Amino acid sequence: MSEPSAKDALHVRDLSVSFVTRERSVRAVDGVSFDIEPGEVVGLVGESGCGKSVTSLSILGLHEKSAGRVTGSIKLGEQELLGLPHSQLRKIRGNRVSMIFQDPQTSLNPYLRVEEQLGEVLELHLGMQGARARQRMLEMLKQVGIPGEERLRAYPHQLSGGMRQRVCIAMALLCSPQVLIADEPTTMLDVTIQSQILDLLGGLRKDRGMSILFISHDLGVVAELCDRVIVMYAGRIVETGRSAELLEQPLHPYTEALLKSTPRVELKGGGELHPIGGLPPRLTGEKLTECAFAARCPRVRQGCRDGEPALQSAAPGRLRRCIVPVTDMLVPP
Amino acid sequence: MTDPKPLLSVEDLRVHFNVGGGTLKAVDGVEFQLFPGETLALVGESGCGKSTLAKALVGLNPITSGSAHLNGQRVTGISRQAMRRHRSELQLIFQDPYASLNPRFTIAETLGEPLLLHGKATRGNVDAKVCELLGQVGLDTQLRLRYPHEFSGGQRQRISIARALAVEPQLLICDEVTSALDVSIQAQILDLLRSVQRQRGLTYLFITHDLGVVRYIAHRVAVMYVGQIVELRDTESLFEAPAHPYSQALLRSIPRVAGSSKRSPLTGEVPSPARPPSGCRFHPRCPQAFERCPREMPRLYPLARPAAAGAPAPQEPIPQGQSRCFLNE
Repeated sequence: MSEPSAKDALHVRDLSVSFVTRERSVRAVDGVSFDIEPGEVVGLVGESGCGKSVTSLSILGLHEKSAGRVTGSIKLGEQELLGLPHSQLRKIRGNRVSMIFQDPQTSLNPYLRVEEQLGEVLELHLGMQGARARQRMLEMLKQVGIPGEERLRAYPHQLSGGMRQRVCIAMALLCSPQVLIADEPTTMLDVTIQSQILDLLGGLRKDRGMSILFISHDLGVVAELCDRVIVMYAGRIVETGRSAELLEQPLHPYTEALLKSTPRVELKGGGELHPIGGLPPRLTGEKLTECAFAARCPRVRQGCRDGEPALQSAAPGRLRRCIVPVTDMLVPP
Repeated sequence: MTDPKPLLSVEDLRVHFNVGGGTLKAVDGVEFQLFPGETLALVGESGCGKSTLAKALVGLNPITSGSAHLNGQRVTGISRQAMRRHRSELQLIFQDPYASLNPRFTIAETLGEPLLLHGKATRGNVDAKVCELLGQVGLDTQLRLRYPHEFSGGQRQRISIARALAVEPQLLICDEVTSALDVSIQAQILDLLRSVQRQRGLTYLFITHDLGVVRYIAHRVAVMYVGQIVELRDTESLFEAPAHPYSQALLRSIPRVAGSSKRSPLTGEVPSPARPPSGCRFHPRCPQAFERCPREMPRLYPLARPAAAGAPAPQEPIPQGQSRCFLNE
């Protein structure tokens, strides 16, 4: 991985997050490094428990402080975010870095009208009030496809799921953030509404040069929206690359297996499905003595159990954590 | 499997709810037939009535009018007592295996109860039967003395399937059974359902919002919109050449892993079934609507028969496709 450069919007270096309870400790994220350039959309994919959401939450210090232990470095431009006091982080959240979540219902305050929710952000970060704030809110709502002043007076329960997610996006964009973190923002929406939200996010990136970290388990969504993809497994990055290339020709057996277990709407009969047998390893604090995917890998060979492979360049713009020769990956296992 | 007699036939079924002075027409005149050994997928967006319909079929929702017959016997509008007899012919599996398994029952108890209740086992051989069921769904028989919380989501869904199979049903209604699972686990469950179908000649009514899953598992598809079926087709015809403008829009909205993006989103939102639009319910969002659409409700019109291509359905010939659109009249 290259040295962080000033032009990058976000640099994450060697990020590890452990949760320690009385009985055991779990290393949910283990040595994760990546950069996001301005205007770039990066997808973070993987199955439940792979560490994608914990990674995204640590950027803004949003996971449970009491239990989590975070090490490494997270830089927004030149500024280190890790270890910043709460008061400083609050100035960044919703201002320079914003986040939207899967469930817009729980991210909106049910007791506040749309104008109160949005107004709070403007007042807190920009000191904007009254007619100017109102003007800004209306502009923002129009941009996310909610025209009309009457929506400002609405309570969240009076809006549909798609509308609520639009309000969350509007709220996240009020202060023109450099980086938007979107954690499964379309998972709970119907496909026709998901389609509208994807177009909206794609348009915002184009118009504003905003960077987006897009967390998803849906490879189709990632293929459509993201420039680059980071695939996570068992708390570590196992493969990265430009999305079209990576999804067309995965170079890590886990990415390959993930694609092969996804029913494909574009293929006759949904394509052939090859389930991944077994379960991911338990993530204790101990260092791994073999490749994290070895136990489930259809391409496992001698050497896979001798130690964890490093994340290395496999082709231009491609990194992967695997010792299977690239040429072998081009033919079915 | 050339039996042309339907296993399940649903006639003009309506489920209406009274809400705040109005009527919510969750299911509004649904009609279809399900043939032995086939998988019919019921697809559509939230609020289209697909789950309400499934629950109505097993007596968990009251029926306003219409009926459903299983093997020629009426299963709707009958007493709980009478419904009980049909339980062994028709089973339902839900999305959330956490909520549908009793946390205080071991797996052996969970599976043993329906076996004994429906006379499929005796005290003497129930344990052997339980082991047989676990084997069929790919679970280690050693695990039968454990409790649900000791299993993963995928394993729990296997247990739910085993419990449904215990009574040897003919029809299995699967309501979003893989929606809460990761794709690698989803693939395992889909394969399991397919192989069980082959072994037992089971019939599935498969409810899902995931069209990739539909293309993989279903022989035929019913597309629902605001309480009605708008298109009923064999799967490959639907995916290759959808007839109804809503099916076309739905298929165009799905992001695809491979191939060029031809997404062209629909505008607007699904209308509430409490206030359905006049005439064709899709007309306010339909790019092809014309003056007749808001005035008149289209019926389901028959479509030309599909070419012989595609996966062979268990029954021949494939029932004719239908579309609720004036353009297909």
